[in-house]
Amino acid sequence: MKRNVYPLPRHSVLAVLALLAFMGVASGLRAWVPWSESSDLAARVRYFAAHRDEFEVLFFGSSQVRRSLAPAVIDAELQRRGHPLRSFSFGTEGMNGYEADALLEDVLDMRPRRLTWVFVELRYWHLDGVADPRNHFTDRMVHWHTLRQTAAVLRSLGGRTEPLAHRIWRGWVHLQHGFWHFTSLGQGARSLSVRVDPPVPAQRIAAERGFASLDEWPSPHAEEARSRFLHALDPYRQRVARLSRFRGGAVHSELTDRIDLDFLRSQAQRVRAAGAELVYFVTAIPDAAPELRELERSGSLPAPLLSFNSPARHPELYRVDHRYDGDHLNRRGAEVMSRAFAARFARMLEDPPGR
Amino acid sequence: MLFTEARFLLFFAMVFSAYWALRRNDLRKHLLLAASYIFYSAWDWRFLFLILGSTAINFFAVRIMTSPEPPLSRRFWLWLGLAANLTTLGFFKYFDFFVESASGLLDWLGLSVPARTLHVVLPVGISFYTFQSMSYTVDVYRGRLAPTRSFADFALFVSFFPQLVAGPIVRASTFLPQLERARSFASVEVRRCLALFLLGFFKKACVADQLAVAVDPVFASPERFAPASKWLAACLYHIQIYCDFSGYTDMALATAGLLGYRLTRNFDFPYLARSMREFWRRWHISLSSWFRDYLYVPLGGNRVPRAHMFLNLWIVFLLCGLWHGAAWNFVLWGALHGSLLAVERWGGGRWLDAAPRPLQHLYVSVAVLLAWVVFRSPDLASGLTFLAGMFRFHGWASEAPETLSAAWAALALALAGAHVAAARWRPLARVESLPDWGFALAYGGAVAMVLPWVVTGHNPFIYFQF
Repeated sequence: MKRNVYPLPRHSVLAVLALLAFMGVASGLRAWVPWSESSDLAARVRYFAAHRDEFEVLFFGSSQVRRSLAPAVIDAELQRRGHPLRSFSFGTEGMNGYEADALLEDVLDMRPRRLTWVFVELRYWHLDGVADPRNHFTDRMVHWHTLRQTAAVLRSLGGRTEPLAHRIWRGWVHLQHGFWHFTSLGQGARSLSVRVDPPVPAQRIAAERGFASLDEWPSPHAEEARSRFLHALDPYRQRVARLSRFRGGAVHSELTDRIDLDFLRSQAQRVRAAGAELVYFVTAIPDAAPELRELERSGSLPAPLLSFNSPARHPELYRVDHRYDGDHLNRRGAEVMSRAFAARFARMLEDPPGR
Repeated sequence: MLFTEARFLLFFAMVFSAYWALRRNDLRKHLLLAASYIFYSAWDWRFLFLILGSTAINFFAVRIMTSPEPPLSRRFWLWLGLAANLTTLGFFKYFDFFVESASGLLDWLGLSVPARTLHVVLPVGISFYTFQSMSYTVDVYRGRLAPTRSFADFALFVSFFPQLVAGPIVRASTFLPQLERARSFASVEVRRCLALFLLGFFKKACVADQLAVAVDPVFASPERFAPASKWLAACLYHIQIYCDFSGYTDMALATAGLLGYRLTRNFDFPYLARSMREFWRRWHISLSSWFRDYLYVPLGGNRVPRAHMFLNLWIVFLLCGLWHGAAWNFVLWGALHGSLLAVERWGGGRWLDAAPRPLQHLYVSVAVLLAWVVFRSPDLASGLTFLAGMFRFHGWASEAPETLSAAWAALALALAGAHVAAARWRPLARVESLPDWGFALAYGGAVAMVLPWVVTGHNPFIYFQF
């Protein structure tokens, strides 16, 4: 019979060895776990990995990006203006800034040789969707809790004005997600089945390159939101009118606190290290986003910001017949938006920022 | 609090540390008793009073029974103890079943009487700890065991948390002597226990729960699946229930082992049995031996005329079926096993012994598998319909809206292969022969490899419902 009474240093060495083996194997397995299949995210990552050297321009962000920017339209408009570039969209429903950054990190790790422009939507840092318990421990939420993102979220909780107990609870939830991510807890079967039988065919991704119009590919609650929008247009028109009148004003400190500038600087550095240029943007949302205007005005952002949330400057994007619902554009609206985006982008290419 | 939950691991880590930090045996035992009651309260604290009451009745009935001049006869106190146990079990587990069955019978006879069921909530583990208590009372009555003088020791025997909710059913003669002396950490087989716990965790959280994903929909709506899918689901359940229950037992043995206690072995590769007699020597050993020692042998065992023996076998297995659940499908499951054992005793065994080995394995596998179908079904009618559907060879693999993927068949074959290989190579024994550093590296890596296959969410053990 084996005796278990060893001196403490021996126990410690054995425990460290076990921990190292655990971490090594867990890290190796983690690389094998795909992104969530929801919103064709994993399918788009797979497609991009197979065609990584075909694209110069990438878009990251929420449904605003997925539903508003059509890479094919943008590319055609850029071509017409003398800039032959190919773009691809990673815009995904409910994608917050941390998830977008995790996705960007994975994409940069693929070393796409022709990548020169990375557009990241600078809007969703509030983590409201993350606080919703229905999203907890979903494949998507677990996947973006890399060490970098988990640390950034925990840091951001420290500066918030919520009650301490609330912040501690949220921190605990994020730590658990970080653990699930690191250990790939419960991800084995999904990882295997996706490889055996991919649920989304690559042809579908190739056709739209990440764009999905709400008219043809509505999300689960989209039709309900559209019906609400069409039956009560006045509130929408009032929001747009208020937005048109907006000339700046006092910004609630909490809004700016939510944006972690150190995190954005590190993001910009990583993009530049990959040989590309980072640009932030805001789509045609019916919201002034005064905190972003303030950050841009103060020169705090580590990259230029393209804003489209101005009915005065882009009235066509706020026309009711260009909207699917109050927050999203329909296919026609997305085409208008994509051309407007390409026009601003072309001007940027002709007169690069910082020159 | 399931063994596969993080909170159990935290709970056990605290109990383990505090237990070995204490030096006095009485303090350690009190700690384990408190921990066991906390563990049990995690399900429903109200049933703590039930287990305490059951413990007290059994302890004091035996105490009076063994006193020099007991009031009334010793037999009276034996029957009082047994009656208390059986009444508790009968009320909580079988009251609604008997009322509904009686009502159904009267209805069939044309005497319509509404069934007044109480919808009694079944206390988790009641079948296990009641059987343990009864074995103590009977063993002391028979003079095979000296009664314990310590209420705390007896309470710990009844409620010891590693085996409280799903066995193995430990005999007092096995457990109580272990409480007499302080356990020594030097004699704990730490490596074996750690490896056994991980193996059990893998069987339950990674295999059984994974298979449930395929099995549950088929048993919930069998009409939606073709016969081939029904057979596949039955095969998968065959593996699921073994991995679920033996996984729990492995973890129970491991946690008890880490605290210095040895529990009864409950499984010995039962699916490699070549007869039903052998199957029951390898499956849920603590239950089958309990029924043998406390029911079959007292009924006369093998020393009675053949017809009487068959009747005894039937009684034992009908009750064994009822022990698993208060429903007619469990009774039929028990009857099927009892019948096959009777056939083997009657002469079928001789024929079977002469049959080629693969045929023997095939017979046991098919018999056990078909019986599991009845066992798994929500009720008797569903079970029989499912069985009939398995043998509907017209439209064998099609004509149904859903089919189980062939990948499940590949997985079932791989798991069957692993079972055979494990019986041959005994991986636990091999793990013990590794050098310390090798074990540390292998264990750390194995934990990391197991976690991705855990099925997250609440997946209670199948045997908790018994």
